Amino acid sequence: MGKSRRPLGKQFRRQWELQTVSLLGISYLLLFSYLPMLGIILAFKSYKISSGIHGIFQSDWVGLKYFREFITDYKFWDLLRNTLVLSGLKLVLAFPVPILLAVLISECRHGAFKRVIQTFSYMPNFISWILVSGIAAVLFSESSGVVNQLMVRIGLIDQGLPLLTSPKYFWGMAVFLSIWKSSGWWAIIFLAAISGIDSILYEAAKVDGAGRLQRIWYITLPGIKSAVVTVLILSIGSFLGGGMVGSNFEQSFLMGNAINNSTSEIIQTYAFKMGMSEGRFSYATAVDFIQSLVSITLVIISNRVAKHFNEEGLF
Amino acid sequence: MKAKRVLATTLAVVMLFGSGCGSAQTADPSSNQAQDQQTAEATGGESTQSGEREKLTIFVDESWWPYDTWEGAVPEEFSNRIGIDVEIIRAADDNQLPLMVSSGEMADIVCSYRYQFMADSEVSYALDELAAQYPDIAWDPDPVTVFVNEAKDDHYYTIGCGFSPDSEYEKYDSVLTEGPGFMVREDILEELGLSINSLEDLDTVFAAVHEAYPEMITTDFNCIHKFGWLMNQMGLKSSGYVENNGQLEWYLRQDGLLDYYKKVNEWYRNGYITTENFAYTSEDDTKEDCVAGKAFANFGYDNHADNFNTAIAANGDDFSFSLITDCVSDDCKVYNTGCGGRGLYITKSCQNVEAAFRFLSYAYSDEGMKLLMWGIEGEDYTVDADGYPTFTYDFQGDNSVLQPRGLKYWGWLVHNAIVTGIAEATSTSQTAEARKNLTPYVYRNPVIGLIRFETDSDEAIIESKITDMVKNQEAAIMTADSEEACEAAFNEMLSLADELGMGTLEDYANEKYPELKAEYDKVVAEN
Repeated sequence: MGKSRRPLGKQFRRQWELQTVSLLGISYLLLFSYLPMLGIILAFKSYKISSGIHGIFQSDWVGLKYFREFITDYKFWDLLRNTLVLSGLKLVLAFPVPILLAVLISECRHGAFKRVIQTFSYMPNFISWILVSGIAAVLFSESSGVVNQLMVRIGLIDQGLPLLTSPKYFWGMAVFLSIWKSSGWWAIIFLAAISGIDSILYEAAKVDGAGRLQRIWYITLPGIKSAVVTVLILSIGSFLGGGMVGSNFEQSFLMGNAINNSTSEIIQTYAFKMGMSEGRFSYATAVDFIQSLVSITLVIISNRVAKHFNEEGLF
Repeated sequence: MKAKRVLATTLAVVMLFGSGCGSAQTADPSSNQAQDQQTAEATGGESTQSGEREKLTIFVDESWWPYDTWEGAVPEEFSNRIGIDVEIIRAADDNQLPLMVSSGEMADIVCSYRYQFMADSEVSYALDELAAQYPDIAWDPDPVTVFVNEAKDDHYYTIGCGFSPDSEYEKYDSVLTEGPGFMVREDILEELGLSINSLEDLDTVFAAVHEAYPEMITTDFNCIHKFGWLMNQMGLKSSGYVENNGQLEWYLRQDGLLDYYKKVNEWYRNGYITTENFAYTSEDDTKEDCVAGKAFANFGYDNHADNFNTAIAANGDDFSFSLITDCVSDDCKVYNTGCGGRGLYITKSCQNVEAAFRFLSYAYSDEGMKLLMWGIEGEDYTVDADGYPTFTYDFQGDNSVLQPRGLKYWGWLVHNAIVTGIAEATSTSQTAEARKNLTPYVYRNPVIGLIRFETDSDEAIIESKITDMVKNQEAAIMTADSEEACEAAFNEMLSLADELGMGTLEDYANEKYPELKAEYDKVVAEN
């Protein structure tokens, strides 16, 4: 027989300070995360922006009309490919970088140098994407970019590469800039996990004759496994937004143009264009809803895979 | 159970709070009207009981528009004449207006080119109804103008700018038409001993400049007007419907369109046009290239040469651009099939409808339009016996000249075809010369402009998708690696347009056009 439970009201009164704080959080979540979800019904209704907020409830139901329209649109497969490829490249190429960076920083024994590297690596995270796209234009412009001019001057290429305009360079540039901007920031999480590893393990390994790489392989990496799995699941959850380094939308919106559109336009920018510029809120909601369904499915799958191999998962 | 009650109460509070916000945001037209009537009665139409002048907010749905405050002698004079102060909100981007409309939180007056959004009884007040409600306010637009602005519900919500009926054109000998332009660096042209008298000369000139100045951009093109001048010279329309043997076709089917794309593609492949130019999103990008002396030529608008030259002179540089003012092709044709562009709308969020209607009444009057477009008579311009103005300032001057006094660009929000068309009829500027030379090639047919698509209708969606597809496909056509690739990309664009429903747009137009034309002709005949 377990202990008899106290009445909820009594428990609440005993913990009222803590509960008040948690209620604020719950209210915030309800107001800004759950309440707006009511808007999903727009995807199934023929909503006209001129009908205002009342129109959300008063407009006619149209079933799956907008879902069908998107899936049969001539751009659908290109948009899906661009979204998946850009996100996949970021997951594969950008995910390991903060882990590697954290391990390298933790192995650095020169205190001042370590702090400088850590500061410089996470500083770009605080620069907005609008500025990053401006910096990219200055650095990588075909005609006047510093990088292109340097490569031409040292004879690597005959003329500047259209790094910002050609469709074939867009994914590479997007992944590169994401890694540059976000790796240092995410490395902080892994550095925190590394600092939680018992130093006795390292000392014991040293006594047993383990080299630095062996200590990393057998102690550091297993020690941060939980953090890696958690971040990986979260990354897969936001996979279609660019995962851990995110920013698919910002990059496609700011660095996309008429020339590289065939690789730069993704589902999110398409939904934004349809909703905001064209005023087709119902269609844009349906497009985004499809993306959300894919994201939720990916979270569930990745969580199950993580549990299967690792016996750890988020839920 | 208690947990459920707590949750239910929380949800209820949140929902109440949410719906409270919603109701607060939604304007109640009837209460607005009642309040407006009270205000009008109390204020005698011009000022509040406290003696303060009435104030209106105007949202300008054009991020390029150069003014962001109602300042300078001209707007101040306008305010003084009608007793209304104005606060301007300029759009940060194209997305602001749809959000404002959907949230129901709009400025008192919206200036927008998006007729489909705004000409709606749920969004704006019908001007014919306001005229009946406020009979003391002068409001007497001509019936043709009313007809071309009428929405599907037979009310009209704005007067689109840039349109005047034929009867108004007939009052003047010279009403100029503006349009795209093409300009070149005069000094370099002279240095190389070249001139441009035909479209073929463009190839010769570009090749010579590219060879003599390989570091220079041979030609830029404006991101909005693109190669519109070349299209005019080739007799091509750049959007919408064209007439072909009595039937309306979407412009993509025009004979000669492929030749146009091939020509631009050839220039691109020869290195005369940069790839980066296709990524420009602001008109300032090409202006910067030109004013900084980086570009030899520029395809833009017909006033750009005069405008850029002012900026070049202000920088202390000694070069200038010459506009090609003559038509250089036998095929030259300038299509004017619009029946009005941007217009002022009194929104359902308006807090003082009577004042807003008074504002529109004066802004759309001949006197108001001239004040806003030309300036103050006697100070900024004088009018000759035939009604043509002579300006005391450079009408096509740089914004740095126009802005301090608030000249010209207020007029862009409300002008008709006559106020802009006669403004430079007596001028000898390059812009005026080009317009004079272009005017005989103008083909006017406002009935085509009357074929409008309802918001969210199948036709509107098809048009939007085709426009988006063309924007991207056009770049692929123009930057193709070879002539064959260019042609293949063009054919792909046509087949995609067909797939998206270009035929549906044409069927729609051919069904509507005869009845619209008959109605239009009837209204014109009656007046």
